[in-house]
Amino acid sequence: MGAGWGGGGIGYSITLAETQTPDGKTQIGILTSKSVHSAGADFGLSATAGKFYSNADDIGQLEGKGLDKGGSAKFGLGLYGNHQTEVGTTNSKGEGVNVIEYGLGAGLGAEIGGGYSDAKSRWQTEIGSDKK
Amino acid sequence: MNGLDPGPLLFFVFGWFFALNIKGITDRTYRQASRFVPMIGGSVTLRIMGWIWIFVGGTLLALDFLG
Repeated sequence: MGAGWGGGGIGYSITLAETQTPDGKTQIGILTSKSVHSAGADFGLSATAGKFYSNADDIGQLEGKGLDKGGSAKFGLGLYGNHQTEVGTTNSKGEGVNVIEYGLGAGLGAEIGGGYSDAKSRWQTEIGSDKK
Repeated sequence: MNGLDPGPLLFFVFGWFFALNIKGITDRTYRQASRFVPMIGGSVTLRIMGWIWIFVGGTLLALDFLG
């Protein structure tokens, strides 16, 4: 879900993310992200639902700064896609953390380009915890 | 702003304008966009977008206040 104004523009998005920890637990979290994109819609509004893939094995690895490459076209209904490289973040195997997401959106606006985002975890929970 | 993120609040407030078509904003946005690009669906897609903004923005606001 996002809204952006300007040539390129400033965006704000809210994402529901799910990750698998190395010990098999599932973490679910809500992340909010502020972004600045280099090219794109003069005016954009959207609410999107999509699939999110990442090699992160902790929600915390999705926080912080990321570099985005992607695009979207939503004229009423439309598609979006994005690849994000988390800056200076590695997972438990020492690999750089990446995110790929794509999906369907309702809204208005078109964009293709790159940008920078800064994500913050707002809420998270863990399923399959050993806690009793 | 006292640790409260204004982002979800803006989505929650503006979501109502699109969801309920207040001041005809949804229809006017749709008509204006239709002049430049072929729009898929009707203005109802922008109203659905508004309801999603309300639901998600409202959830985050509630989490802010409860947390």
